[in-house]
Amino acid sequence: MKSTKSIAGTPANTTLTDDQMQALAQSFHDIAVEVGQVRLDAISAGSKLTDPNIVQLQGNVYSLMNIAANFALTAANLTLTNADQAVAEISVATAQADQALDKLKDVDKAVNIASSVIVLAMAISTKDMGQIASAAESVVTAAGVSV
Amino acid sequence: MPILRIRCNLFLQVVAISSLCISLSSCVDLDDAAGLSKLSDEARAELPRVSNDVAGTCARQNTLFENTPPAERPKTEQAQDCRPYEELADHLAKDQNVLVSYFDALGKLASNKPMTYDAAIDENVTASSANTSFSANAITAGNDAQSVLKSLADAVTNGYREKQLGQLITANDPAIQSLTHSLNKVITSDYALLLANEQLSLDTFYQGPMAGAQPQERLALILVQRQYAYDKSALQSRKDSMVAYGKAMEDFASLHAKLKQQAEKKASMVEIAKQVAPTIESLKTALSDIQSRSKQP
Repeated sequence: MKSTKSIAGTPANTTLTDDQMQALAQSFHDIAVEVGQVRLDAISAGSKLTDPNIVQLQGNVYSLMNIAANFALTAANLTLTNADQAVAEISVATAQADQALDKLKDVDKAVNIASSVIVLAMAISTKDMGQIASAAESVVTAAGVSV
Repeated sequence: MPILRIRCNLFLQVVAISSLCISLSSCVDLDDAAGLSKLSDEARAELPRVSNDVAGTCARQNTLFENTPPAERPKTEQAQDCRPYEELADHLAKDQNVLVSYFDALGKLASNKPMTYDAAIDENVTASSANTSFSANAITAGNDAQSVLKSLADAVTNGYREKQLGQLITANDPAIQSLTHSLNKVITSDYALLLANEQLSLDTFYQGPMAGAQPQERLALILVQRQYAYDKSALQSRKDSMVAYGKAMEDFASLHAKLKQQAEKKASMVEIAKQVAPTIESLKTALSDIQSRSKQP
């Protein structure tokens, strides 16, 4: 990571490396795949393509793919205060979400997890550490895993 | 006497020209040995097939989105904005064009053919490098391309000849290594993720309706399964071309490193040809792979 000058006592702003951005993009893509699988399993189990929750999951898949593409394509120079800490918190949250979605049958819970991950991505774009930490915590809560 | 003198001069000129022709035909230059100009022509035709598809994948995903019935997707969802994809594809095309032009210039310089330089390339690369919203690798590629281009422009301005070839290769090796590495990363990491997204779009588009198909829709289901298999095969072909592009970039880097090594050793053309032959062959195979896949339906 490339650090900018820091004033004594103030954490330095750090720009995420391309590999870190790529890892973030991959995490959001992987969650999109899991959400897509939950949707498909529900359809195979009898849900209709137009059921509100199925439609919501479809929308979540689109949103998560767009987020992943944005990280891969255009989100260079993402500079965060305490970037290492932010990346660690985001990684833990997305890993928990991915794990919770794996083989999940509960569509409502899948919608909650996916929505919380989308909020996390929006928090990352604000570059506000407080919002990122709070959103990451919400993902962990939605995934039903204690911190 | 004057007639005799003219005949004598003419005879001497014919002898001189004949000697020059014999010496030239027996001399193998780097372009003959490595086929750099021909290789550059092939790369100029094949590499854009991959880099242009960075924009193509967005268009295809949007087609799938638009063909999904509105009742099956949230009203708030919209098709993707393809401009960032198109801008990146454009940026990559310009940067790889500089890489190819550089190898073409090496070939021309090696054979003492006139080196040309298109100032328009410079302006294009400078303009696209100014876009700082790209990924770090894409920005690095743009900076490296500018550096190589400046070096080429200087070589043309200063009328470089074959004896300055080694100097040009040595000076540009860091930029060529970095440029090929960055182009490789953008394609095999960033574009790979975009193709993975397209795979998910395809799966989402087909698998849901297929899973929800009724028994009386058996024949329609078979047709849809065939179309799905066709689309997946086309996507796999693009993924294979992406791998071939990465291999081509590795080979360009390796080729340049070997040329630098041989230039430093002041090796003979025969020795250089021997050293670079396997890399040239590998590079041709990678470019040929891209070409053959582009002809698949």
